[in-house]
Amino acid sequence: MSDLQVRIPSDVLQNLRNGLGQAVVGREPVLFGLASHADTGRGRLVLVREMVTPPETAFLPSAGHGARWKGAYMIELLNRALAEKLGILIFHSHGRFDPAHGTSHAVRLSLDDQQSASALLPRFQSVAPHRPHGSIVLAGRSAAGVVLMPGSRVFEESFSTRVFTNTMITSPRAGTKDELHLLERQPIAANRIVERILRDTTVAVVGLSGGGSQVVPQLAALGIGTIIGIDNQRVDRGNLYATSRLGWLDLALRRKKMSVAKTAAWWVNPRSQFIGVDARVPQPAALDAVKAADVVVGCVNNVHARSDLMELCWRYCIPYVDIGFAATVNQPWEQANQPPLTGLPGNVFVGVPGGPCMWCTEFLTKQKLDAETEGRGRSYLRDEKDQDAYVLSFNGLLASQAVSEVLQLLVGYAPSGSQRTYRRFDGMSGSMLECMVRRKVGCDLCNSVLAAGDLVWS
Amino acid sequence: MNTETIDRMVAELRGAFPDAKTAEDGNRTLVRLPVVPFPKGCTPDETEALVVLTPGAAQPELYVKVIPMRPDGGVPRSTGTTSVGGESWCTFSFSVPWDENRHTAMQFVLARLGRFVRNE
Repeated sequence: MSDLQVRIPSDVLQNLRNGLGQAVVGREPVLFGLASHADTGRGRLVLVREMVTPPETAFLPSAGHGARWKGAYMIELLNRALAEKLGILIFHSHGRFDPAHGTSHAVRLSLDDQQSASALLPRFQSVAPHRPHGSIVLAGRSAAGVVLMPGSRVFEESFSTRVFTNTMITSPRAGTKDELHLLERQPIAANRIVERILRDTTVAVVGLSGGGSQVVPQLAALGIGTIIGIDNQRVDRGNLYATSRLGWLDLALRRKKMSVAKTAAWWVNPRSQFIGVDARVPQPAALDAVKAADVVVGCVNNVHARSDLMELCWRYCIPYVDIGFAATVNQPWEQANQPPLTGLPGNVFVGVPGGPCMWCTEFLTKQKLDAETEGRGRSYLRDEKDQDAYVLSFNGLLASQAVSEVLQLLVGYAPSGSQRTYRRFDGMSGSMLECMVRRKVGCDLCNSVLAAGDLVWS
Repeated sequence: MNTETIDRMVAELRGAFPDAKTAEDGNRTLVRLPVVPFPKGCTPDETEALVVLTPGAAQPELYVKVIPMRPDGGVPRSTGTTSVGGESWCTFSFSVPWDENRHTAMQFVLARLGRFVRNE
């Protein structure tokens, strides 16, 4: 399979499915996707930012079952693509498109589709050369088509698609009809197709302390094929209270957390490849590693890092699972009167591209970012030494939930309509509360950065 | 900053740096300067820089690819890293006021970089 992948966020997918599902007379439904692109180093991405449903008046009568549209409409769409520095993807279907439950019968562009693409895509490229253009047909779980990447005259037919609902579905998905049926009915049963899905996945774990050190071996135990561990710190005494995975010998030997995580993963599953990145977000090596992942798990201890990860994941359409935990007092811990413990709050956030982000949930706000640097900006962000506290069991619980969320993203064991965006953990009562959240209409990140891809410099 | 100021800044930067490139990121205009000089005596002596122009913001932002050593051999304080448009850039503190009605783009860039001469 080629390194080229078309990614469609959940909100865009919904518009696509609605548009293709409409009954129209005299032609087949056609929609246009406006797309950006990116090169992550691991692969090339085409990221669909928006789905445009042409008005009925844009179409011309068509002799066959296909669709023809007016040149004037095409020019209008091209002008828009050029102004927004996006490419155009033509979407249509040969039968019902259902990425989760549809038939696995492979679809192909018809001869008419191919001829149309051969004529149109180079013209699109001549007007808007900096972004990809393509023609894609969908049916059942399958997608096929051609993509013309910037700077290339080659029609690329080999690509995968990745769509997001409350799971992440990558097609083509190798498997017999029986295996796919089994995946639908028993998504967490140990079998070849689940094993394959997990093995073909790369998960980046950012932060390898209290939470991250416990996430890594669990991912290895699941059989995740590649785990990228990102952290540049050495084990310190405080870590011993925060996790069962960093021990006295690691402290004595002044081991890097990255090295400890690598060893832990190997002990559990030597077939799970661990790649250590000795950096912190947003240093270059860390950003490059995050972009290359299929899923990112954030186990960081500051709001700025979360903001960086959220932005990066949205830009490249990567699901983001974030966990955090704190033991709170209402005054500084060090005060002589020993302020009492007031709370043990934690969070599990799951961001699926197209759904609510951490800014929509107000987990991230400008006020929180300013508070972290006393309003003076990024140059004043410093690590804070927290009071050591016995939080390892709470971190363990959240780490396990994060791994469950990764599993849900990959195999979709939860009901399809369930929302899994934001859970609050209360360590005092031991309960996890699901919070219903919606995407904010005016969210800057969701409106400007989602599926934005690499910048186009001119 | 209003849009007229942003357009002026872009034009001035393109005029001063012929290899400059621009990109749009949401409502922000980014101007990439392949080579800008640090103050004399800094090591290294030049860097790639990024100017970010946001409508409504009080002033432009300037980021660099590397933080230099000062001419006295010292390491500047209050520096950090940030992500802009999916790319990593270095941030640094400064205490230079900027007036969009009086100062040019070059004055902005050079004044900001001038902090690397000072022990701060």
